[in-house]
Amino acid sequence: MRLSRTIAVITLILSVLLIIFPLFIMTPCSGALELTNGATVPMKCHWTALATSAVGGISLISSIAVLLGGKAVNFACFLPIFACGAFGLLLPTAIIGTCKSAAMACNAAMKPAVCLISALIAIVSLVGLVARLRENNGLGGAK
Amino acid sequence: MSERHSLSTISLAWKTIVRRKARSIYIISLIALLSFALFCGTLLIDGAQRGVENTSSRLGADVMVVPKGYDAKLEGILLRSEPSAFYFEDDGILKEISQVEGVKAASPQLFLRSLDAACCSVPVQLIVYDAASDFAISPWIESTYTEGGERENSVWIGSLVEAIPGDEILLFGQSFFVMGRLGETGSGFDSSIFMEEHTARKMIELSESLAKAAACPRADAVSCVMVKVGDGYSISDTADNILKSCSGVQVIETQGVLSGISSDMEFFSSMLKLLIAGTWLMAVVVLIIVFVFTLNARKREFGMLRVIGATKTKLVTMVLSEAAIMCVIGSVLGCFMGCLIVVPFKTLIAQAMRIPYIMPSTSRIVGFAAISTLIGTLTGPFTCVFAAYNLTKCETYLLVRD
Repeated sequence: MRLSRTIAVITLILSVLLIIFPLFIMTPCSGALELTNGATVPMKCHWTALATSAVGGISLISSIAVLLGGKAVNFACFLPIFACGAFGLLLPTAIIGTCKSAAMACNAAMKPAVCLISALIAIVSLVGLVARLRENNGLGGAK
Repeated sequence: MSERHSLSTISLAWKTIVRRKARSIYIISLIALLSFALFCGTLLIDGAQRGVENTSSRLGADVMVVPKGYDAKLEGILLRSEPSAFYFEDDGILKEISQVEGVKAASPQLFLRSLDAACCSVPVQLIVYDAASDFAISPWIESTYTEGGERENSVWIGSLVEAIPGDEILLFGQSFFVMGRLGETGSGFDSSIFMEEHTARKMIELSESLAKAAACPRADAVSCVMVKVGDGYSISDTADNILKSCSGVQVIETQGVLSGISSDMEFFSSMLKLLIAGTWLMAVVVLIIVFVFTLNARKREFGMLRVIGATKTKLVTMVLSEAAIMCVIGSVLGCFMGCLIVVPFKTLIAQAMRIPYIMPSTSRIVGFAAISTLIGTLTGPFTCVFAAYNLTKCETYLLVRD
């Protein structure tokens, strides 16, 4: 189980980064949109940041489950982590999106950071899935 | 059943790398750091140089005339994508400047700030030009014209404005057809929207009723006059003539703006070169020490290899191969990390540097990665050559006894 646990530690760290980056480090644009009735609403990158952090939270919980679950945890536990990585990648690019100008804070900083971390989560979780499968089949030096 | 092991130089070198994990990881990390610094530094220097070249070719005019005290705002618009709106008080400024001695051509531009209401609350820079007299923006626009359609009610967008030709863009409560997207310059033009004067006048008039606030106090306002100096006249003399003839104006010589950016770029580039040289020197010194110590500690192993028939050349080749393999891995890793950081965060880096920056093309990036990998790879064998040579001078008996 050594390799899959190491991978779970990596996905756990990446999940924490996915939570804190869009909220505190590379934050979305700060302004608000004014509607015709005078009310103000945040720009869509704000919702992308919140949704990405939530996805990071799910990935974090799944990583903890893999880490603490030991042999009871099946290889399939890496699947939600992979899905979180994929959603993290799709939220700023396709599902919600970001602002229209590439020079804006959300596009210059938040989007690339979120995409990079999410892609790493997806790739690492796939490696973890294969590693856990091999361990379950007795090929990975299971302990 | 006995297992057959290859004793080729590369195979032995690879096995040693795998067996001595801590040492290998240390050397690979060091080379990755060197390669990362070299690759990223080269990308940044090249991108900044191209950005400055492109900006100078796009400014077009010899002299720019703005209302007094607005020179910094103009530089913000042109170089750093900082949207601003300002106007001359005097309506006849264009005529006054056109009549100044040395002025060959003068063309007005109007700078407006707008919120793209359909998207976000960050201001967008609108640059309005007079197509009839313009000599700076029109040639550029004509060369990148992509989408058919009426020029009336159309705009052209900079490379960083996220719309595609054929889209509709909302400005001051009115819809405009995106006629084309202009090429990347690395300057403030990339985040600007360009509009012809007659379209802008109509937009300003309608903005009073359609938008929350009027786009501009006067439909015929002028923010900046671009001036081309006539043959036989010096730029600085013409600038002085404009200052003497017109009141409340500030004259900016384009060359002065460019030399300012060039000196910033020179400083930035020198700092990066210093950083790269420092990292390389540090890596070389550390690697020499590491190789001297580790090869000394492995004397017994080399002695045994000599006993079973390995020649001195074989030992040296094996040691050099070990260093080269570790350095190839480190260099590739460093360049990959560099790509992961510099390519996605190019806009952020450009904004932080505050000088025009254009990301090098893919072929140039691959070229820089190849050069960085080559330098990183050669550094390893270069640093262990001395220690490997010392190894050949020892007698086999002494090697085994040590």
